[in-house]
Amino acid sequence: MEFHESCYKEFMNYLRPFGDERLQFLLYGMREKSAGPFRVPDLSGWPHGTELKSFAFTDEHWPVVIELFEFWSSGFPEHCEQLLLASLSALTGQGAILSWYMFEGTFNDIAHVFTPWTIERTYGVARPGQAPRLAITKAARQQKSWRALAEQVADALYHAYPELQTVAGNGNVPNNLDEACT
Amino acid sequence: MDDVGASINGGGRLSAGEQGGKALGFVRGLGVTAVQGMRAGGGHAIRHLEAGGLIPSAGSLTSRVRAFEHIAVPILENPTDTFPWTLGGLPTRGFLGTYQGQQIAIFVAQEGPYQGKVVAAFIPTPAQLIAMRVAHGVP
Repeated sequence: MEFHESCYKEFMNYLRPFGDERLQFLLYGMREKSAGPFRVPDLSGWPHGTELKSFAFTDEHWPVVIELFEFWSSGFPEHCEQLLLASLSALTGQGAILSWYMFEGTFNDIAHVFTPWTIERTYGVARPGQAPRLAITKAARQQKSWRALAEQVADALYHAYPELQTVAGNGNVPNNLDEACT
Repeated sequence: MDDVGASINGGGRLSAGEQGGKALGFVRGLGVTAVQGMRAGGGHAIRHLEAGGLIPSAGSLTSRVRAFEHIAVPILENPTDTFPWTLGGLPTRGFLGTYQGQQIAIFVAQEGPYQGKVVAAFIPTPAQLIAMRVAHGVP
């Protein structure tokens, strides 16, 4: 099924986090620290003028690196679904432990990559041995099957790398400032 | 007193900035609470300031987060402007300020597990600044 802008207005709004017309797609790929960096994703198929920025996140005690490819697209890609799936598959093909698409502001904690809260803000997931999946609409992201898939991915991640749940907490709990003020 | 800041966590947590007086920031001493736990993201929320050269991209994550804290806390406690903003579907409050002559926008989650925490920061373009000011009624 192809994308039609009228059907995905909410999705597109979520892809404009900073107030301009460009669309931001955040593709995350997790790899072991000892593995080489991912290749820069292919921009063919993306609208002319699409910009790509890349970042890498890790900490000294993490066994993994999360690479972020930040696509800034001048418009909605004509074959968006295929592009998203292909880029997820490309990372899996390069040895990614896990790859996913999330909206801005969602990823904040390596120890809680996929929680019920983040899952509803995750619109693509891939891992080795399984076909990549997308959940573009809010209804799709709220389906039990999507939540179950993301929870399976998280379980596998923390089973393989249990230290991720213990090295990164650093007090990242909701900030009740009312209590802090009294 | 402007009421824009009062919606962070339900009110009572923001105070009038000392410069200009119209924007509401975190109560002095509490801005640091918004950046606690940021190491868990590996530097995700500060990446655009690193790319903009305001934070060294080299060095330990701890040092880079501290550099961000040095920039962010004064802005959170004494912003030039604050405004409601939806970021990837997440309700946040934006805090505008200046560092080394650059306008900086910092976004603090208003709900969810990261409520009261910085979830993003970037150097806005003039067009983005206009959009943010329109978002809270500034022409």
